[in-house]
Amino acid sequence: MNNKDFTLELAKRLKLSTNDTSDMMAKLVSCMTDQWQSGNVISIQTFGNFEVRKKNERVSFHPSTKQKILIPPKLILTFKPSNYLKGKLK
Amino acid sequence: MDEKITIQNLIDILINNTSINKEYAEHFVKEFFQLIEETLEKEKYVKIKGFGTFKLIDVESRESIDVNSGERFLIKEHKKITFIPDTSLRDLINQPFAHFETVPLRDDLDLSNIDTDDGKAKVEEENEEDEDVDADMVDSEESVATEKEDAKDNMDEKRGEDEGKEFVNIEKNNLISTPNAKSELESDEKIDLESVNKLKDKSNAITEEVVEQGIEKKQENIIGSEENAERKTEEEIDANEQKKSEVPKTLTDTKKQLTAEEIIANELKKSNNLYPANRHTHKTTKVTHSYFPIKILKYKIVVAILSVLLLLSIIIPLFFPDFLMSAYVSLNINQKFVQERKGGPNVPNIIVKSDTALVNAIRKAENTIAINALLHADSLQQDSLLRIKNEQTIEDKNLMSSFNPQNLVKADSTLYKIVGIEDEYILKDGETLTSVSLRYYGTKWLWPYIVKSNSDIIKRPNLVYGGMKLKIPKLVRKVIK
Repeated sequence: MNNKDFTLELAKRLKLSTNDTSDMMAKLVSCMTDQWQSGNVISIQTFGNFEVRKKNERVSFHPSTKQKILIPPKLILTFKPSNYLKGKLK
Repeated sequence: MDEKITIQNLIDILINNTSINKEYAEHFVKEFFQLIEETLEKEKYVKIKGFGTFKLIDVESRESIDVNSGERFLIKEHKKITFIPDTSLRDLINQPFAHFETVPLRDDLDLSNIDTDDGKAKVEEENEEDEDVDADMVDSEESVATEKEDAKDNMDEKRGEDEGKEFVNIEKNNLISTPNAKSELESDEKIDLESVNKLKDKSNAITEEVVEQGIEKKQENIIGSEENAERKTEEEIDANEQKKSEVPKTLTDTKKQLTAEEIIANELKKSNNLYPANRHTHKTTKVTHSYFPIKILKYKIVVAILSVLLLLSIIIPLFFPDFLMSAYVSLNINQKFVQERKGGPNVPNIIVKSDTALVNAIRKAENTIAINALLHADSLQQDSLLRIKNEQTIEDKNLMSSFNPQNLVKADSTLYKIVGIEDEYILKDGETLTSVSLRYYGTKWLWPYIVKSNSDIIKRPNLVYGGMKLKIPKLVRKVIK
């Protein structure tokens, strides 16, 4: 399901217009992003945890040129599904 | 920092940021995650703009080993939920580290040291996140400089084409240095010979002994040259370093012997008994002089051929393991050469016994032997030291050749995967893994799977004994996607 379908479905359920729904979604995501940027973990009980993790730099090599490259450290948003969700979708 | 935000906190934050009523916000957030969950279940794929993509991925069943008991067990096929954040979100999250860029590294970097350097760098970065990239770059470049030196040292130990070149150069040096040594010896011994010519019958007996010593030396040389054939390039380099130091030693040794003879000769001069015999022997020395360079040439050629064969026997197995057999053939040729040379030293022995008048001629022969001794006496000592090493390397070679069959495994053996254990089988005497494979799978090419599942028992696939308890793995053909 792509973004459009998702927004339509959500609008239908909430009995809202699609524009309002997409607005709300954008606001929700920006709120969550703020939390992640300040290093907080968002934990939605039935769904899972969203956490920002630091990946250390590492030495890798380019598969085609065979050249060694140093990959810089990164901050990555990770999602760990809750046991409830895992069990439900098994 | 590091706070845990629950769904309730999130709703509160949303209300604070936007002017919407609480019930509505709560309803919206709950419905949002509920819908993701439901659509994931239905369609296995949800994409939300600005947020990311949720996917439900099928994981195939696979075999694993229990960490505690070490037993194999099957992980059942299941579904995995993945989340890939949207590029815009990813960039926003990674903003503090955005200034870092991937850096191509030079090939000569030693990674073992780099890792420790990185570890230090990590700590620094965690302390001050906004550190400049340039500072890191300088660090890494400094480490590069120090590691380059290490790398140079390591290069010497490495085998390869470079090694081959070095080897050739060293051989050349030998060829250049040995003639010099020869000429020195020649000049020394010419003078000595003239004085020794005035020796009595008593002194003849002494020279006989010397000749015999020389012969012994030569025989030792032959043993040395046999070991030469088994030599490796590394050892050759080491040996040469020590050769250089030992050449002067041997020179002084021979000089000592000759000076001792000179003293006797001087004493005998006073008695002046053997003048007529002298003239006779002088002629013989002139005759033998003409043979002298030819003999040196012969030995030069033999040494050159030996070195080339050595090179070939070392390089061929390195680059073409299949040609091991041909390398052994070349080793045999080396041994043949050695056998040919073994015949040499017996001839002077006979002459010594037959005629004392020819002693001078034999002394000439002894000189050549002495030169040969210079060529090989040093290597002789090295070889005796390195013999143990050589034996080890030969064993290694044998190991290499014994593992060759694994490389020849047919493509068929990569098409299956091990799924549990089908049966246990006790190997009978005379049975091989291929015969077991033939019995269970109908083809002998699947024996590597038996090796794989019995890696704790089978150390070498071509070395299995009767009575071995083998686990026969259950194989499932891989699905080609």
